[in-house]
Amino acid sequence: MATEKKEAPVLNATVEEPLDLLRLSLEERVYVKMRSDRELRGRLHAFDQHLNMVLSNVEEVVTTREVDEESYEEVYRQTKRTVPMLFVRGDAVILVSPPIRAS
Amino acid sequence: MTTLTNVSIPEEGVRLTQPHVQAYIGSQSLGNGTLIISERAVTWTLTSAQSGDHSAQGFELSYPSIVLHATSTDRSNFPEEHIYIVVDGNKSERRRRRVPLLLTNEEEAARRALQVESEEMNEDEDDDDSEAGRSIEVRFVPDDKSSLSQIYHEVCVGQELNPEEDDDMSDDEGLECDEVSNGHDLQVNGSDGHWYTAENMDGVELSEEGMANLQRMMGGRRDDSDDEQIEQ
Amino acid sequence: MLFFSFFKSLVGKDVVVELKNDLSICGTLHSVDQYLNMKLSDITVSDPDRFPHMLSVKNCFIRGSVVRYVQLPSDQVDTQLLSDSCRRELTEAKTKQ
Repeated sequence: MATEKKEAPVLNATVEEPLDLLRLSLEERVYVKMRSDRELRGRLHAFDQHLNMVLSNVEEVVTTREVDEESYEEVYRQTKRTVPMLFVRGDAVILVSPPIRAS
Repeated sequence: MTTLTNVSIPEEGVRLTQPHVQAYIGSQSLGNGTLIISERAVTWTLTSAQSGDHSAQGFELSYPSIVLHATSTDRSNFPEEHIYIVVDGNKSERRRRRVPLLLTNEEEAARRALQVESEEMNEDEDDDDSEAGRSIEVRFVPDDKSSLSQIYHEVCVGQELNPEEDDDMSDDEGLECDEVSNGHDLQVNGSDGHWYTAENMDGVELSEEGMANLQRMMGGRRDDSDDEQIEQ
Repeated sequence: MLFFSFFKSLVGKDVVVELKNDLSICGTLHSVDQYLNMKLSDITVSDPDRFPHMLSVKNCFIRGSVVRYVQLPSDQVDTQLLSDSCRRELTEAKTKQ
């Protein structure tokens, strides 16, 4: 908790809890990290307290990891696809953030 | 679950008891039996193996383990119309370990066949984080085909009666996040600055609930890559 | 109730439900309940090799908690209306507290 109360500029007067932050990302592109090594980038149109979401113009990247049996080197393989409009069930969501990293 | 064990015959909340139902797991027939759909589970018991008034040889599918069920009419894949069920083998696996196995030789053979089948269906099992894998196909083939729609319907009812805990999508608690503690050990420690998100949020005061929500949003399982995401 | 209402508005439309076990089911959304359990009709599967028996089922009930994604018909989704509803729900939830 932010126990030190200071006069620092407040992000937004209505931000009282995290979902208010996500509200600021409505109609913006967001980055979503999912279980099973899946990542999504898309425009956020709606969400609820379970982090169910609807995203549009979604790019999904699935990373699969394989270990080379002889060299023990890990090989990562990425599969990309795009989906025009996607409902995402919140129980598989790990993280939501603005898409800071360009990739 | 996928093996024949001694199952208790449901007595309460029974919605349908359908005799003369063949059960298949994968393509393996388990024989003729009775299908009992109760509010708690879908139970099938072998007709020839009644072992008592309250229990019988058979298997039980809990509703949370039932991924989907359908009425199959495709006779090119299977000779008769039937109720087709996909079971989450991961969920049923946990059950299986708890249940003592009481198998005849014949059943043991069937069980081995099943295990092979579920392993075959599970080639893409990757890491323990993965929720994929282990799907088991179960079929119920009633002699009386007119019962199919009722069986389908009663399993729907059972599913609706048995949602996951904390899984109500109706919004009766406002923005309260009631599922934060779903398996991840969260270390929330905002006061000493260890919790990095607080630094970005000077002046924003979070309720305990809000903090928990943010924690979940920013990643229940923090690892290096998550941190990297946030801090940039 | 936002997404329950949302999916109710998509009844009769074609969707692709992707499950956490990687099975993808295409079909017409027949009904939905508050747990987002879904009933589909006119079903096809995108990976018939793995689930050949899903090829011809009359109707199908999918447990909400096994769903990972639902691909939606983008021309049937009014995103402006959706985000407005979302903002309204957030505000209402807040005033209830």
